[in-house]
Amino acid sequence: MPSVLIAGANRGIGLEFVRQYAAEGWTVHATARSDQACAALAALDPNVRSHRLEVTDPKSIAALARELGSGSLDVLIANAGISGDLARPPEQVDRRELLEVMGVNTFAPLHLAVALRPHLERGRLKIAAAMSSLMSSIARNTNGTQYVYRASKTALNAVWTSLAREWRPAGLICVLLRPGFVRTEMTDFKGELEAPESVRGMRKVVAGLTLADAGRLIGYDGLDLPW
Amino acid sequence: MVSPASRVLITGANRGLGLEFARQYAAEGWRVLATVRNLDGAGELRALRGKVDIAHLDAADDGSLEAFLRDVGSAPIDLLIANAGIGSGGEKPAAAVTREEWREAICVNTYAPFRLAAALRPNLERGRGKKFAAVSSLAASIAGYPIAGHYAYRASKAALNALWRSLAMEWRAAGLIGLLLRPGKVRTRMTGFTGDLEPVDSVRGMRAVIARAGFDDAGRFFGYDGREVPW
Repeated sequence: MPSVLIAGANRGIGLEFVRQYAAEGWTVHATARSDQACAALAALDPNVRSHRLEVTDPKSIAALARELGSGSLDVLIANAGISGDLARPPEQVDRRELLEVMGVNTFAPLHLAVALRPHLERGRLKIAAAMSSLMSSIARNTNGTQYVYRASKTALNAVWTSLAREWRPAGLICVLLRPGFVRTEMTDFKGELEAPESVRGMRKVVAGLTLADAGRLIGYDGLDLPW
Repeated sequence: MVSPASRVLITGANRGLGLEFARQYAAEGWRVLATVRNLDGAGELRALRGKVDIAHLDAADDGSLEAFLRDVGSAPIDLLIANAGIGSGGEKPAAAVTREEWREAICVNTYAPFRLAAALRPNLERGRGKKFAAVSSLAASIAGYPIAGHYAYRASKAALNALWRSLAMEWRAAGLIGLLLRPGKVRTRMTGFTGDLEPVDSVRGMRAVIARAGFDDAGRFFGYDGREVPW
């Protein structure tokens, strides 16, 4: 069976990915920031191996790559993300918050993918997926708000499409996924769909990917989101 | 002919596109407030003809920004051109992107122009021109940029587009028009003077875009050639 690594797996969409892939018999590497969350993940299913990972810490990423050793990885799902203070008006956005949110949402996925590239190259499916958002779409932004979160996800789209172009000659498929407006802690459980439905949709998208899809931003519903 | 009293604030005006913006607006009779990070390097700016005031601003430095904003006070600004920025440092693979590199790109190219615009909203509202433009880049275009590298630079300009678009959408109701500009590949220091366009032509084109922009253009991204750039 294939293997998948899910970053930010202790709750919400990440946790649902763990459940569904494990239930299908995949080998699931699930990461979380605390020992407690790792223990809970490891107890979920015999197919789950948990790893401690702080995505903004290069040492932690390097340690994860070492733990995976010479093993292979079929799919990476860079799911860990933070929202920052979504309600903050523009004049109150400060540098610290912008750097923090972009550190987690934009550059950590890039650094994680780079560290796990050897494992993905040894895998059969060779898929690196990052979790984007409707909020990443500038074209769809007609009302402003959510400044920092939007910027971090738009920038993620920029770096991930670059990565898709750079890695395509090696046969690696980099794609962006849009989970939809899901009832999770990040949305204060106000979303329009439940995590199982969103994740089922995204897994279906992942299962159908070919190299021709590299660089696309695809929703849980199979539809592309305009940039 | 614009009103002689129109006032434009241009950041990063000591060389390249910023200097050319200052030159052209001053030549047309605008009152130019030109900011530079290093006052010692502003010789060409000082030599411009026209009404040009020069101020120190390192927008990536909170102290410098606060001091600048105090000096500007409540003066009306008709047009803001957030031009200051740093280049990409060359085409590098993803594996070469360092924390220092991306943090600097985000601070200078994303945060600084955004922070300045956010702080100057009252000044823009008091002005008659009511336009604020940021110099972006084709590298910000997720759809239109054909090169893989420049990760930190691309991210910084894409994030700038996202923030500027949000400002434009929120401030539209107050009569303000936010624009993103693509200068083209201009022969300046930033491109190692390898561009296919002279600053004078790029800036002339961008000034024409700014001059004719109306409310329907708020939050859009235009090239120096007047063509809309895909996100």
